[in-house]
Amino acid sequence: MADIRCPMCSKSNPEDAEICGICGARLKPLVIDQPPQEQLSGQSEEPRTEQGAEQEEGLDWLGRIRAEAESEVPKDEIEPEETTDEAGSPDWLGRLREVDITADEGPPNGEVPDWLSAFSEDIGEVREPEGEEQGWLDRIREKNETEAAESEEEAEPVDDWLARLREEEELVPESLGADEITPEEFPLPAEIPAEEEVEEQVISPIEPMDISIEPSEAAPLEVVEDEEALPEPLDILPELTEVAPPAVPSDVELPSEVEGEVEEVDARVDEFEKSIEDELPHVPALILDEEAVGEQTPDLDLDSIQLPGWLNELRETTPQEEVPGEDVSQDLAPATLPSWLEAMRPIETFRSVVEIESMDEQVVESAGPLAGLQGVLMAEPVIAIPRAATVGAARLEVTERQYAQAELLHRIVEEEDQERPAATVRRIRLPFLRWVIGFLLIIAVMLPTVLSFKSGEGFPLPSYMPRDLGTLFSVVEEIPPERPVLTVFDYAPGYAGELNTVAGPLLEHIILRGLKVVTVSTQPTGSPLAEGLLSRVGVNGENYVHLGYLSGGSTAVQLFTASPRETISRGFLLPDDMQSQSGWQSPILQDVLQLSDFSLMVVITASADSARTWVEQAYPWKGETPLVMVLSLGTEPLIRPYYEALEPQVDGILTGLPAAVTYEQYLGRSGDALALWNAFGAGMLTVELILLAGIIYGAALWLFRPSTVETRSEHND
Amino acid sequence: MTEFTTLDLVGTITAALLTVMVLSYLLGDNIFFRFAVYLFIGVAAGYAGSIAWHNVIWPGLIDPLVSQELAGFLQPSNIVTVIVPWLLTILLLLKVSPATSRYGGLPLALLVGVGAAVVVGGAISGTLIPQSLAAMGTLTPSTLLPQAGEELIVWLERIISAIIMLLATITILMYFRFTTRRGVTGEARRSKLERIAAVIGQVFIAITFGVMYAGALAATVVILIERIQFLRDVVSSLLTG
Repeated sequence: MADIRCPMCSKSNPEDAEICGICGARLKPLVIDQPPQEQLSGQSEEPRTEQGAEQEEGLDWLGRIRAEAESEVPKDEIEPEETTDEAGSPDWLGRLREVDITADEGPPNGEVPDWLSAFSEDIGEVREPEGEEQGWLDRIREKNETEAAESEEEAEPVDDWLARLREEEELVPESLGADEITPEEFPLPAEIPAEEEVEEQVISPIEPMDISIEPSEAAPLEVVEDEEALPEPLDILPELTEVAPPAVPSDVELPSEVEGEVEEVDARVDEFEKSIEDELPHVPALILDEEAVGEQTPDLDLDSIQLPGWLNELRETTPQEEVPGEDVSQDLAPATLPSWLEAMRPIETFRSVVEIESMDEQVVESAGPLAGLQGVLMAEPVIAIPRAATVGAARLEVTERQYAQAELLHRIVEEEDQERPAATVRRIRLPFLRWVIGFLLIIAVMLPTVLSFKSGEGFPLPSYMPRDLGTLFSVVEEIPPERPVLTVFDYAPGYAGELNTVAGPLLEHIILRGLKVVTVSTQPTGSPLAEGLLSRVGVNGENYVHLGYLSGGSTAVQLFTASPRETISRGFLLPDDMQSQSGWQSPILQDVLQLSDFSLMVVITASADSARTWVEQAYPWKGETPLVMVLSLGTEPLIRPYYEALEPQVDGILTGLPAAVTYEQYLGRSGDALALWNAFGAGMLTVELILLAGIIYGAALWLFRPSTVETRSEHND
Repeated sequence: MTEFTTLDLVGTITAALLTVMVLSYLLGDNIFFRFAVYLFIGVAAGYAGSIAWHNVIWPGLIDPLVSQELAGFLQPSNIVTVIVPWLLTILLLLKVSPATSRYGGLPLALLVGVGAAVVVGGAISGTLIPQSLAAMGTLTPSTLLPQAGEELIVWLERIISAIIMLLATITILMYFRFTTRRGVTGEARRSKLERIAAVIGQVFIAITFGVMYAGALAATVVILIERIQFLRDVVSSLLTG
């Protein structure tokens, strides 16, 4: 026999049970056998014709009855209390309907079960909802409580409606089909039409529905010590609809027939429970707290409930037919679960997380198969609890890039875990190699100097003039002598040893030609270096003048090239007669108003940036004035493109000691460059030998290095 | 005359000693080398400050205040040349204190902005456009074709030089091309042609750096020789009296 496990308490129920025998939760969804939405809508539009068709089909007999009743009474004249009185239904049911239609806040339309929404719509046509902030269900409960109090005072009407109901039962044919009634059409007392109208209706046969909650064979019954706290099976009715009448106090005098039926049912239930207690092991499947059960008992007081006659009849028939209590107690212990299944149930987790709120705070389920129930346990906390997956997870789809990144991250983390070798005490190593190289270089450059080789005795002098030097020489020879030469000293004192030697022949050539030299520098030490170099070949104030330091870097260069006289220049080592004046007051500069007024621009620098700045900034302003660069050997490759372009921005380059020596040779003078030539040759030869030795050493290491395989084997060993 | 000779001799000896101190770094870091370095740094900073005072601060800021009276100082012509520089200078001095450093942002922004504009403008107009035109000009027929009366070896040299220059330019530019697709692990993915061109560009770059290093080495050798000769002259002058 296939049982249905209750979604609320996990207890088994008979297959055809509609509601749980323990907790009263609905086991089957309420939407079963609901007419389609189109039918409902059509019914509202054409009530007369549609209702006639449905009467023939035997469906929704209550709806038809209600529709017939409403059709005869004008909507405007309908008053719920009067209607209920006329129909003979109890007063609390009428008030209940009133509460429903006056509730302005209820569950959304889409979430209300169809049968409940239809119920509300029918009533809603009678009365407009009133604006109240209290929950509609709470108001229902309050109304029920007030009606219960009133019912005590009005015991006579109770008897009256029960009598009327009993009379109605006699009118119902005995051959009611079981399949023509659905759970959602369960007749509520409030929906029972007036007595006169019922007699006129052709009522479809109704078979008493099985609503008794007698435990089935596999029904897991809960054994509690307090038997009075056990919920009665029939008590699910108030829980099911939340619109059920309140329990009638026990002191209300019931009809004798009703009392007899109730006592019979109670006796049968007690007998069944006793048999279970005696014979079955107590293995709770899902243990409900006694307190929680006890909280339900006030609403489930079976003695205090006065049911209509047709309900009592149902209680009489179903328990005997469905589940005899003896069968249940003999074969299968309720709630006896296999150990593996018991272990899989997250009972602890379920209980530790879910807190059962008080009845007032519990929310009424508004949708789904549990619609209308109060105190439904929320599924979200259970779902949100992390737990080990019982089913093997699907394979994670990882892209190649993600995999590579994960590998990279793993590698990085692995490296972090590796222990670093202990810091070894650094052994002081004497820089023998540096000493050797330094010693060789010093010896190489000192020998020619100390031995005072004459020119030509040591290394041979350059035998031909380079092409670049010829161009430079031609430029200097062709400049007009009446205009001064602008010379920029943009190098630090550390490069003076090289650049003074290289630039010396050029400046000497300029002075020999009778050209005046004007110096400027973007470095503070530029002017002293200029003075040190020019003082060898000329006289300050006569052959040259220092404009001094040009502050501002590239901006100052741009300003100077655009408008030289606007730059601030205090001059440097001006002649005595010009101490209070600017360098621009010198007679050398009297005809110079702009950059193109200079006959030649010479930039002496060891910095590629400085050289590039002067090239870039002076190019638009220099006009036909040639630009010559005296460069350090390390800077020359970066400036040569300006010189070798089809339209050169640099008209001449002088760099390196060999070029200077050639220049001096061309001038026919023996200067500093020629004095350094032998030492330079010896030093460069030494450097080349050292480089060659280094190359040989490196090649030897590469050739005789241990193979990779051997290295790996050594590491493995 | 004697006094001058003595002062000159002292200066020469001091220079020789400082040179030896610097060369002592060959033996390792030592106190003499550090002393010489610190001395050079201090002297250079002091000299730079002196130059800045005499060439910039005094003629640009102080002299206008001293030479002109208050009425002349407030003339409209002096607003740009005197008042604005003073205002910017004061704002820049506020950078000293963290509490007022934000007020120094204006002159600093002016300095950086103008400097960047000058550098970028000059680079575009003085380097980028002329050099690009020069590189393209090497491929013109008038450049590649042999000139009238030109020797074959000279023409071949010009052709080979133009080809090498063009190849180096393209390959180095391709080596510095950073807009490529990213690979699986985030590395740049280049096509085979791009990789080959980048390798060739690397070779040209290595050659360029090698030339620069050789030039720097030759320059330092020249400087070393000049210092050795200076020491020799000092020693010889001391020995000969």
